Amino acid sequence: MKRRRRLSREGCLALVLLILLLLAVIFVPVLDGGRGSAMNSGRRLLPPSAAHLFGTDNYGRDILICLLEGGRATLGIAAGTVLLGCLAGLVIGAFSGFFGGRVDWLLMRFNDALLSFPSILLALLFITVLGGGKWQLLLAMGLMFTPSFARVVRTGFMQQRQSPHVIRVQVMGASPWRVMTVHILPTILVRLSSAIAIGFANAILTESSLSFLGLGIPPSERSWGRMLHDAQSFIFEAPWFAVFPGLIIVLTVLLAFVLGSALTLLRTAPAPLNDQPVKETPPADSLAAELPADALLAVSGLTLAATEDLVHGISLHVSAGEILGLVGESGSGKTMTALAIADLLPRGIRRRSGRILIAGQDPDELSASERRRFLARRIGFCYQDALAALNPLLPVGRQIAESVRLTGETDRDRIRARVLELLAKVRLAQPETVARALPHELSGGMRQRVLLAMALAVEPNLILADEPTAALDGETADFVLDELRRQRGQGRAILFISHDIDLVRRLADRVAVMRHGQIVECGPTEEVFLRPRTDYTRMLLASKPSFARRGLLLGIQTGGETS
Amino acid sequence: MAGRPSVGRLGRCWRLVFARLLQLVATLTLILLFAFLVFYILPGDPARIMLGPNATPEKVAALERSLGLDQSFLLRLVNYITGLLRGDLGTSLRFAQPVSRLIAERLEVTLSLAAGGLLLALVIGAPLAFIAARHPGGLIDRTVLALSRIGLAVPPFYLAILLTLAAGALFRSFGGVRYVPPHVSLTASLRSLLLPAVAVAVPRVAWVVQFLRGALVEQFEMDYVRTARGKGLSRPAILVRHLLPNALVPLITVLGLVLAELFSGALIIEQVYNLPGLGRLLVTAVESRDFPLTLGIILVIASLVVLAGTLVDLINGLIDPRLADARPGRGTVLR
Repeated sequence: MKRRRRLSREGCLALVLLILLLLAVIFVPVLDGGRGSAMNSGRRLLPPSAAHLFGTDNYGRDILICLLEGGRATLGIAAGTVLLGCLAGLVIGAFSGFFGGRVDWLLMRFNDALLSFPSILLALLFITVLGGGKWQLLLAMGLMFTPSFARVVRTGFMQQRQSPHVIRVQVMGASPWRVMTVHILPTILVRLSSAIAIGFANAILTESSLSFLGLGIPPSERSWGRMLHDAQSFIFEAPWFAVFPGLIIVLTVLLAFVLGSALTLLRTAPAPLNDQPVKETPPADSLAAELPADALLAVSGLTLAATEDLVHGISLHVSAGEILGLVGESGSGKTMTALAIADLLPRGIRRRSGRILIAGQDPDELSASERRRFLARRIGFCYQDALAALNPLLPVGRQIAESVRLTGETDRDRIRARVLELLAKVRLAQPETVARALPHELSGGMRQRVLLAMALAVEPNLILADEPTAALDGETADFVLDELRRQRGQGRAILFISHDIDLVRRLADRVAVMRHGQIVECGPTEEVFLRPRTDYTRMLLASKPSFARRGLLLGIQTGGETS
Repeated sequence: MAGRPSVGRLGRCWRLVFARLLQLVATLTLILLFAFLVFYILPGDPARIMLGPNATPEKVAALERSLGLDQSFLLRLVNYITGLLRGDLGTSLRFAQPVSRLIAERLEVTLSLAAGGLLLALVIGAPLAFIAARHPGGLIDRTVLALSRIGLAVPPFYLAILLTLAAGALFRSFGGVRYVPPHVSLTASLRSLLLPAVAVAVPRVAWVVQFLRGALVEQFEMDYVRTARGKGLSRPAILVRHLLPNALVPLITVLGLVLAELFSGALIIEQVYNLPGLGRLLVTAVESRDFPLTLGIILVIASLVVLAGTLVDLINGLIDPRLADARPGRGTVLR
């Protein structure tokens, strides 16, 4: 389903205003017939009035008319610069991005060297040799704008070159020229158009700067920057002479920027959030009534929503000393459920309804800071992606220490000792060295062990384990599973999330099967596996991954009740 | 490979520095090649173009000799480069003085103006970025972004004019900016640079705001921040312990880019306020078509920009060892 792309309202407004300005610049001086821009010593430096809206300059010329006339040079040079830079950038970028390899490398090093350097200086070098003037400016500026266009085009071509469509037409024998012009070029037009708008704004600024310095447009001609240059000597005498030309530069540049960013947004339009109110809110009292007395986690009627509902009113509970396996394919809402329990939902996803009880306490009844500490203390969260879940710039020992501190320990030496103890507990050799290491210096298995140590550090009531073995080697995976069994033995409640049905079968006491944000089946593990009640569970069982994968067969024989 | 201690970070940064130094050589070579090629390809007689149509043949011949135009392209380039290695940038046509001395005399003003602009851009921009990033898409965020967009659209020289007007209206005694060198009086020198530094800094504040805000918002969405939230840490604690170190790298990076842009901003602002810096020298050089002087100034500024980039890489490598550990080339070096 392709959503239609439309320019935002402010983008449309900017476009219309720019076109109006362009029309005024072209036609108003013609209609005025040269009266306004004629010199007249009788009306020298008059302040703004009904006859001269923006006042007059030191030769008695109407500033408004002069501005519109000067706009021809400023806007014309800016447009020419962008056209030149864009064409040259297209050629270089397309060549570089499409063919890649050594040519690309050389061209881009060249390009980067130019980009990393204040480009106005290059233009100045050019002007030193060529002298000032419209055409010289255009040439110099077109050259300095080329690298940024080349970058944009190259990125677009590199991405498109890999697309299935382009590969298909190439296989069917289309010539490189045809592929580039017919199949790739149209796809990067949106990207290019925003680069053009922003380049146009920057070109106006550059031309104004150069002309203001007296190095661009010669004194005999007129542009906005040149007018500001002339106005400098009359700043205090006639402020309007300088204020209005500057104002029109700011306004035009702003409009082009707004248009440019509106065009950028064309590519990445975010969908609106689903804010419809929920109809059914589950009764608060009924929750506790149906629960086993030792339930450490109870969820009832949990609904999570982003642009549409992700999780639809699910209910589940986990008792002390029990492992509940939550299975389902990716995208079924397993992780979001766990994050909702820990109150860690990402921005853009909200809990629309539902109650959660943790160790008999409803976190919603606590104040924000109390809730934060309560959840952190009761829940040990073993996150899925260990590399991302750890702060890349903080030694892992200090990250574990933050969790240890939650238990109320404040003594530095005891915290340190506890960190090392935890690292040893998750069987990391050389705990001291590991504690000082940064996450990227550890292997994937070591990181997952660190994460487990962090979850255990708070001595939680409830452990939320989100695919804790997904990216691990067999040995580490077995260790993690064993550790979870040990934790169950110590009376903790564990919610074990996985898409691996065999894993869940060996570990969990009860299983909840999740699909499209709903729990389709829930019950004791063997019951669900031997007598599945829904077709979906049957299908999941039929498509289960190979048993011997990742050496897990070993785990079933030795992993049992080692503790 | 666990157990690699984090102490030798500085040592691991040498690769970044080396890549940067290579870039310095490449940039300078590129500029030189470009400059000499422009001369070479250009139709007509460069010396005559420079002197104008009324110059006598003797004068043209003299200029050709002093520019070395009677020699071959390659020989001229080699001569210039060997001179460059000795610190000799040639002789200015306009001032008839060594280019290097002219530049040395005026470097101080430009450097202090750029430094002041950098400080202001940071001091104004960073807090704004933090405030905006607190609630992305909120009213404050949108206001700050809109303001920064306007700041980006205001040419520094126009801002300088407006500031002068405002200062004139507020203080009757304001008679324009007059540069005081720091060895005469440090406070007076700082005061004389305040207005120019503000004019230079404002458009770059927008860069700092947009870049840093983007980095903060992005970091806020990261998993490790979620982990920190899961530990029950307060918002300030998360900000200081976890977010800030990670947002520092993009901040330093943008400050490097800002510094490069401040040099060209300073060139223009010096003209407005009549500050005796490199910018005014450059404008004079371009106006009088003083090719050796223009080229010399541009080479010096290019070197400063690349050196600033080296410093950025070094600091970033110290903050984030992953950058120093990565292979040089794609992605590790700026841009």
